[in-house]
Amino acid sequence: MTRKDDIMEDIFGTDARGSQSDDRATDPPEERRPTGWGADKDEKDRPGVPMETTPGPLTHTNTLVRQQTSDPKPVVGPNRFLTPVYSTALPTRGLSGLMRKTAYKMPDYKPQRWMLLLAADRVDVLEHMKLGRAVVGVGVFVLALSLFKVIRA
Amino acid sequence: MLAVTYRGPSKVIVGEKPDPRIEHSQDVVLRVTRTAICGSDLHLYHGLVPDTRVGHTFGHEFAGVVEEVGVEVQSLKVGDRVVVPFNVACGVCYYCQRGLTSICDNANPCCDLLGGCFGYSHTAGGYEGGQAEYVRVPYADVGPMKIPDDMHEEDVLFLSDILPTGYQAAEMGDIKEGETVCIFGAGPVGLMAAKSAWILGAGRVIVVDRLDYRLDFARKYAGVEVVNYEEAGGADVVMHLKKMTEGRGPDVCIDAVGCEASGSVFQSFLGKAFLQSGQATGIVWSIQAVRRGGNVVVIGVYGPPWNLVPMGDAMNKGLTIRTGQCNVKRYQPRLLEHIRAGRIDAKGIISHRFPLEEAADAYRIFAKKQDNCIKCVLIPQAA
Repeated sequence: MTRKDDIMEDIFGTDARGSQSDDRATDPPEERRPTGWGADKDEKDRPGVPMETTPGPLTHTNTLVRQQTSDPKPVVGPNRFLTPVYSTALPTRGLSGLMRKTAYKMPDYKPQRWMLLLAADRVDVLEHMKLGRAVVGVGVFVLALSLFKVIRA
Repeated sequence: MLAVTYRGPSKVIVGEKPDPRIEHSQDVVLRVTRTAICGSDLHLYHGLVPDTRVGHTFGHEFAGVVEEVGVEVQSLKVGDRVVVPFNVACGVCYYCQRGLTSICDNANPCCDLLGGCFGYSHTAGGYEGGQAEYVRVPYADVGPMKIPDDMHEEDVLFLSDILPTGYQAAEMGDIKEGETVCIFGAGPVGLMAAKSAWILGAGRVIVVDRLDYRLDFARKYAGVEVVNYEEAGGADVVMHLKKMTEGRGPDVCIDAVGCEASGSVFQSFLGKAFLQSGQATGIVWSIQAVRRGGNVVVIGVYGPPWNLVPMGDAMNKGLTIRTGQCNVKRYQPRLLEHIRAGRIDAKGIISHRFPLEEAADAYRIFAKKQDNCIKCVLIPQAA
């Protein structure tokens, strides 16, 4: 037994080394191998290896992708473009929409963008509740009044 | 049509929405026959993903029958049964040409961080999801895979996400024959990662969770060793794992939990206070438990802007960290072979089936881990 083994035993107890003498865990014995064990053990024959394939269009693809034109168009973030296809679902609207449009003017490495989007999500929920709409309306009114007073002063 | 729609944190309803239509010459419209609730849908459901709009339809795991076909679609016709990857991918951009369909450049105009996904908020492009009677599928020649005539939708439904995701996680761990793999999270992706680890030749597979019913299921379904981290003393699960592996730690650790991990009061506090994006306990324990020079894989979903993780530990231990949404298309053919050969019984993890109309109950049961729930499948009436 080596000194390292002694130390291991002190820390972890006698089961620290298990029953294996090799430095690496061994294959499960054949009778305990689950169905399909090792079917893809050849590292070169795994579907995601290498991580990046030799560049080339995927099968069945149209190399010319036409631009979708349907409305409404989505809000496009900075460093982005109107992609050839996009979703037309749920365009921005109301105060939450204004907040989202403001957020999307910021690049995605700015945390303010994500905080504003999360806040907009909560405002969106309020806007879809009857009471919530009143709360948002009063909030906007108070904010506008405060701004007006600040500007006048 | 009927569709699941988001109404706010922890609230979805099933209501009427306009039918989807062909909006681009490479679109198809599918009649959904099976759709599943993914663990990552719960991040949306709990309001943690930025720009999740009220009215959005979730669902990125679905299979269905082609109902309408765009004029430029070459490989599909009305009546074909298909299973659809969760990625919306063009097949021709810089990334798709290199096999990285999860970060396609031509699908998400909103955000530079990721490609397009079905039913995963406007941060992922705003595409409506498949938890509905019908769904629009763009780039239809690229994503959808025809379902073989002799197979049922449920046999291949999980080729849309969780099976390729679990397999990619194991593959990114660069598992060598006989190595020890530890998977944090006994949810559907964790189970698929465990099955895949065996297929890649792992010598031992250990699954860590806190729910005994999930650990029992993992032991029976995937033949793995299990550890309940609460019984192991919370963060002391790291020491427990080292003890199980000759003091070194597993060769590969996989975080299959994502941003809603429990187990650390500090992480939970930071997450709940919105000082970070959810809780990164799965990454923290992976980095701490893995052996020096080992591989850590993050396949659980995290959002922007950041998380508190011990990068100093990772750097000093000389770890390799690999991450990423799954490039589903690349894995479907091989995994279909494994399903056919009986190596993976993907549908064996389905614990609950609900009519689409009862999706709100399904979300509640899945989110609260009630009734020994592992995986919920929704069945639209038109299926």
